[in-house]
Amino acid sequence: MATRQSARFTCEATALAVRHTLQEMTGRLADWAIPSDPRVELAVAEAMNNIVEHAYADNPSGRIQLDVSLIPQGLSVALSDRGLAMPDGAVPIGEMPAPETLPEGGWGWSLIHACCDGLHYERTKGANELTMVFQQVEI
Amino acid sequence: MEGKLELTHTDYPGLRVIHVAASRIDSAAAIQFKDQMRALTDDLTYRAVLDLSAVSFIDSSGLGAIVASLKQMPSGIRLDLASLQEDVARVLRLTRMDKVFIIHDALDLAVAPNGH
Repeated sequence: MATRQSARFTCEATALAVRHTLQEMTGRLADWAIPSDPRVELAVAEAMNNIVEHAYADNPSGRIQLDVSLIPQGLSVALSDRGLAMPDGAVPIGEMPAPETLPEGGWGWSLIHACCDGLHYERTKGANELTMVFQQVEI
Repeated sequence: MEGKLELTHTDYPGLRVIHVAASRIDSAAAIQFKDQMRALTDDLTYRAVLDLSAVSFIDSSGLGAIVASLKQMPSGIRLDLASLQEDVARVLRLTRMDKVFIIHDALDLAVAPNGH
């Protein structure tokens, strides 16, 4: 079969909708019978939470689009939203907060960088497009 | 309500074990988690252990809520963690927050006197 596997999900910009979409996504990946990779759900969760909390900070009726597809290198996950652009027009490098300061957050981008093997951000026509690639997903 | 998170507890001499009866501590559960933890630890005069055996997923909001729970413990009262699933342990390792908590592999070890 030459058909490449891909799926699209759309999601409201709320924490609960993000949870449901993540569960749908992991269910679909399981259907595709690719080896389970827990990094995927964590990285996508962090990226979607960022969209809800920052890009759509003032707009819970915003929509997030999630495209998942198998590519030769592994798994590609693309998130798209029409919220605020990333400050500085680029993904933050992400630095883990010092544990001894007992941080209650600030790990998001560091976790995304730690979990995915490729990361690309673009702001085009009023939309944020973030693509994450996960290797070592054997088909 | 959808997305409901429930904490139950078991008291032992000198120890309260708090069980998370949910598979996720995520952004949708973080505030409920913190509030319920506060209610369960507010007037505690001895150690608490958070039993995470049912939890298969946490994100940074969930981790933040666990740290907030630690910070809202009465002064001098410990909050330990127990029975972490691998994916939860990984988030603690990646963020180095495994250094902040005493983590017990299993609940029976946590329940042992002095928790060692």
